[in-house]
Amino acid sequence: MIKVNSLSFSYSDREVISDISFDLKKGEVLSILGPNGVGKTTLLRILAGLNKGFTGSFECEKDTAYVPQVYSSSINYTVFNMVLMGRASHISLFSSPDQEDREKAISALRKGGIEDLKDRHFSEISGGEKQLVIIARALCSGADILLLDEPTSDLDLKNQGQVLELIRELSGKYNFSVIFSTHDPSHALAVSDRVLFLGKGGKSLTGMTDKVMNSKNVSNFYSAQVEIVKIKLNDKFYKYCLPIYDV
Amino acid sequence: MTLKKSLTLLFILTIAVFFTALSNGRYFIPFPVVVKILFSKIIPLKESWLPVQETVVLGLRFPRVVLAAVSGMGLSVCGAVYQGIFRNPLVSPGVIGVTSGAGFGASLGIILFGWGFAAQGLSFLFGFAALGMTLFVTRKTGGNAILVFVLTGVVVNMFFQAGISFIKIIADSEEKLPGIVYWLMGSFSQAEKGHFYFTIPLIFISSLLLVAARWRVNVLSLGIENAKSLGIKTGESLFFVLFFSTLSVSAVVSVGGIIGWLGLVVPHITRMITGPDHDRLLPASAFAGALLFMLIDLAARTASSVEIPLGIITALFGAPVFIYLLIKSKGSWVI
Repeated sequence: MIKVNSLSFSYSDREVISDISFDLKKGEVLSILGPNGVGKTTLLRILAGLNKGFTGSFECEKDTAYVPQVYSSSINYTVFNMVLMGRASHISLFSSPDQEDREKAISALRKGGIEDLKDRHFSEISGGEKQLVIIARALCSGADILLLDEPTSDLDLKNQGQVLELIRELSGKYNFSVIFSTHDPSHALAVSDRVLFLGKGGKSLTGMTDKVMNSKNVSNFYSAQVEIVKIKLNDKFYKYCLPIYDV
Repeated sequence: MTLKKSLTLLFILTIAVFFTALSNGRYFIPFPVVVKILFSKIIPLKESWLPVQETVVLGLRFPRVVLAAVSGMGLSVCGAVYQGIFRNPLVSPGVIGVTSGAGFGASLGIILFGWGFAAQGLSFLFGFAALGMTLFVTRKTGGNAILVFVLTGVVVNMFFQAGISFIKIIADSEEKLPGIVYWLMGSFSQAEKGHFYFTIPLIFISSLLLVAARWRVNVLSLGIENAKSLGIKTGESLFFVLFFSTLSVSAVVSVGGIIGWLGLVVPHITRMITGPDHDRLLPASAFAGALLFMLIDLAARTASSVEIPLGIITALFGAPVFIYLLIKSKGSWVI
């Protein structure tokens, strides 16, 4: 679905992404982990075609849709209209959405689990719901690969869970390939099939989640002591990444 | 009320105001007579009116009322489009410097060549020069393009305002200065049949094209980065919008002077009825602007013994309306 070969990118004199290669198959979830300023957003923007000037190459078999990190709208559209705007690339300068576009917007709202918010105004809904709306907008575009930039940041615990559930459902039920960046290694443990670590000085590491997500790697890339723990709850195992604060 | 019903109501009101404006003025002409005079040009009718009535309706008022209607339409549509793409409720057609640029060009034309085609041509030239300056600085800076564009527009606006002040100082105080000052405050007293061949179609077609691109304005109003991420060519779309809005605004300024407030207030009033969706807002703003500007022009030529400049009436009307809207929105910038 996506094949990235020796991708590098520099901002003037500073190399942020250095020689990254990875593959992602249909229906898989890849999470990008790493501290601030290591190029997580830059990588997503390159894959979305929004950042040029990189070296190396990447191939996407299907269309991608990018969901930006922080979203605020000065104009108070309804949730339906926000999602409908996902059709923008299919609608010419002098056209407006037709019935088919509207049906696709309804379908995207359904997949995002937010059909009941359809007529609400964007300013009236919660931060988590806003994130779901923006993801639904990406679904409405008809893309098969979703690039989500920190979709769980600035959300409370319940809303974080909602977004993670949606990511899992989109890949499991609807076969979307999802790449998302996050600051929380526990989110990567919860939903991703593969992980890409980005670190300072252009270092990186990629692999299947159960292979590379260990305490040593996470501690190394975040320059902080962490422990990955396994908890059994209701006969089910959950993995979490706990930071160890020496205080 | 559905969009179709709102637009139908606005259309009927616009037609009613159109005939009222043709009928009223210093010399009152009864409504049925106005209708007969107008229709006599399409279907053969027995002439039951005075020649002077026909001259007043067709020669004086018809060009003026139509010019007021399309100008109101042009300024309001541009205002609504700018407020959308710049995501700022305080934006009006004047904010990116085009109005002042065009005003400066026309003033320069008036002192160099007198009223006429040259003044109009210079108005377009400097309107586009103002846009060019604003775009040039924006391209040089990078960063938040929309913010830089608006801030640069404010500076370009001040620059051309200073140019206009300079022209006022050097203009012949007996002959040209009063004309320039009066015209700059906004007036359609220069309206004549010749405007049907160039200015009126130009404003009308530019406005129609902007209205036709209304859904793209929705997408642009999400912000340039978001619009890009949705897969549209933002550069081309913005160029289209800025080109036709500059054409429209320069054309209005070239015949009517600098008319503030209308482009700021009409979209806000219309938004109260249609909501923020440009799919509905732009067509409704076009009708509302035409309707309101015909009324304002009617007031300008009938309220007192001397014709009141349009800019004074739009400010007297616009300022309280805007204050009301600000209070109503409780200072929220969401539009």
